[in-house]
Amino acid sequence: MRGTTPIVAALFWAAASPVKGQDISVSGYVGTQTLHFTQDGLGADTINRLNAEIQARGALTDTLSFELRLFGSTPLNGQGGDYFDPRVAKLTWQAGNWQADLGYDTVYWGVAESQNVVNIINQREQILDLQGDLALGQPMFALRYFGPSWSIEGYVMPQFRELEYGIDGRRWGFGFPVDQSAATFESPDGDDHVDYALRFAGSVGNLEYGLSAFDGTLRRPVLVLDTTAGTLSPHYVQGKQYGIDLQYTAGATLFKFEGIHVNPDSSAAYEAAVYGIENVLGDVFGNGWETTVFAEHNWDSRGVSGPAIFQNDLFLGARINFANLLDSQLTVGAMYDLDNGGLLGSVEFDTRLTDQVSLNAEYTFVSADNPDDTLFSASGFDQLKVQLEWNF
Amino acid sequence: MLKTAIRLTTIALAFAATAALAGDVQDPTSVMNKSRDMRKGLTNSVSDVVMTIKSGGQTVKREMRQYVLEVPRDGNRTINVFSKPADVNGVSVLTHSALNGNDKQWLNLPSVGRVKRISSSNRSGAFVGSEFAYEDLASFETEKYSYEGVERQSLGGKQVLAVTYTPKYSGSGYSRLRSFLDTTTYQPVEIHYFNRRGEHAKTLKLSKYKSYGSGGIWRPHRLVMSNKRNGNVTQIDFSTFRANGTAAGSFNSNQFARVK
Repeated sequence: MRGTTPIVAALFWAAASPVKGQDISVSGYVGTQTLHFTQDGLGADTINRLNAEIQARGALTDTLSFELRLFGSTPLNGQGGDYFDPRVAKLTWQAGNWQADLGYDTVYWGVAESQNVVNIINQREQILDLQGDLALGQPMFALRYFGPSWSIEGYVMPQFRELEYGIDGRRWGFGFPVDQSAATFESPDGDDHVDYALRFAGSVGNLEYGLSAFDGTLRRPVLVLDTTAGTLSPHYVQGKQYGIDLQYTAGATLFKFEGIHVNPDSSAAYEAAVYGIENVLGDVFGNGWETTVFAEHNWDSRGVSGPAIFQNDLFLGARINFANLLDSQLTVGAMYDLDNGGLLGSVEFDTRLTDQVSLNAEYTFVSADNPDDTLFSASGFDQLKVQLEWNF
Repeated sequence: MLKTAIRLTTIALAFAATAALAGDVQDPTSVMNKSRDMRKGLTNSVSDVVMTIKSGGQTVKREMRQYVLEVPRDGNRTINVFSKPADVNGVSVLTHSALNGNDKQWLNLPSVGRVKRISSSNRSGAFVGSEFAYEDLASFETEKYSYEGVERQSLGGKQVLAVTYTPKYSGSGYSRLRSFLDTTTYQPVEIHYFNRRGEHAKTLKLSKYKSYGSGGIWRPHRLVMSNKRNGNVTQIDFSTFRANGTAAGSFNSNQFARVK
């Protein structure tokens, strides 16, 4: 985590500074996470960790403000090590229609639910979340200009964050263990390579759109098998990615499209897309619950013989919001491989238990019988994750 | 002869009196437009809001900050930033009200940095388990309703103007609404909501009216919604409205996520 220390120290000084002290707010959570593998296999059956996040924000002057979202995790039953991640640790300058950010930030691009192929700025937070929704903080300098219904954003990213495979002691289900210490980079600058991104986004009527371009280290590695060691090691390649994302809102139905064209420096260009609909069914059970359904197709031009997990997969999902005092919600989803017949599914329940305490329980399961299916090695790694958080 | 003259005069006077009364009360649309005019003018305001939900013996307090921008010849723009309960702290919703009721909404989820345009179609659904439906919390634009009638009535010993109207937009949970307006300020003190079966399902009481600005811009600071069927009550309390909580540009979908 080179380079973090001075930025984080500066931000803590800023947070402690008496300047505009009344504008500073602090919040966050402390919680436990239990990961239980429901089938016998290699490694521990249950991994327990203590997670915490502290959030602070405040104004330093009329144009300068700071924001922090610092996450830390430590093992409780001896499995794995500690890690710390600044999801957000930045200074923001705002004047008129301009905004500049310096430091760690989390930037989300995308409209779909099953996968966000255009979402390239941040590395995925693969330890906490297998579905790719959570992100590791990305060091950057970002400059944004806001028009009335559109915006232009440019990013300079001087440090690359690797995907984490080993820190929490969990098993990954790739068929071989992943040796993260053997990670390699196509660029001689390694993780110091400076990456660039640009995005133009806006809305016109009921259409939201985004056009993006990225040049640098592609976030998802190629896993290279070392046959003598019997391990997989991540190899990070250089390339360009161009993306488009669209959402059209028509009453109860949202139409979504994300598409990318990826041009790696040393291998063939390819495309990937995810597109589908979200429909708010409303109160179908007649008791006040709000039900929403999702259907998306995921496609990768490299096809069934390529490295993509979702090369021709159909996602179906439903969310029920119980509209109760505890904001309880049930989400079920399944990704079905139309070529190989494999299934990746999850059932997730989210609720508050008291004003301060919330619960999240998620069961993820894989069913893949075809050895050609990238998911095949993951069957047998069904897992139940339970998180209990005290929020302040 | 005199008797006929007296009878005719009495009838004529009766007609004159009726005509005077009718002219006095006006038509429902102009009454509601006048009501709207007497609460507009804060342009850009912010207020701290506490919602207390009592349901089935349990009580939950939700806190949020509401920013409102009045837009000439269009619906209001609103940003609601939630702070309590703590697990939704920082979540915010931007609403661009449309005069025809087809509001646009965006949801900001700070834990993942995502801003999402969401569907506003579930108008009759309950907001976070409270007695307020999404359509109850939406900005009152007179163009969203068709007005059936207005008449003078007595409510709790006080003279009010009762306006009956029905929603023009789809997906409403109501067959009609009846608003009881104060005869001086033209602001509603009570609203009755009739469900799709025509039953009086909910009652909203609006109180703690304060006048802002020199021209008298009226805003209620307490709303109490009672469910007639199950007795559940949700109360919303507004702090004093402050001017210019955030710049007008913040009410655009590309910038509202910065507003806390």
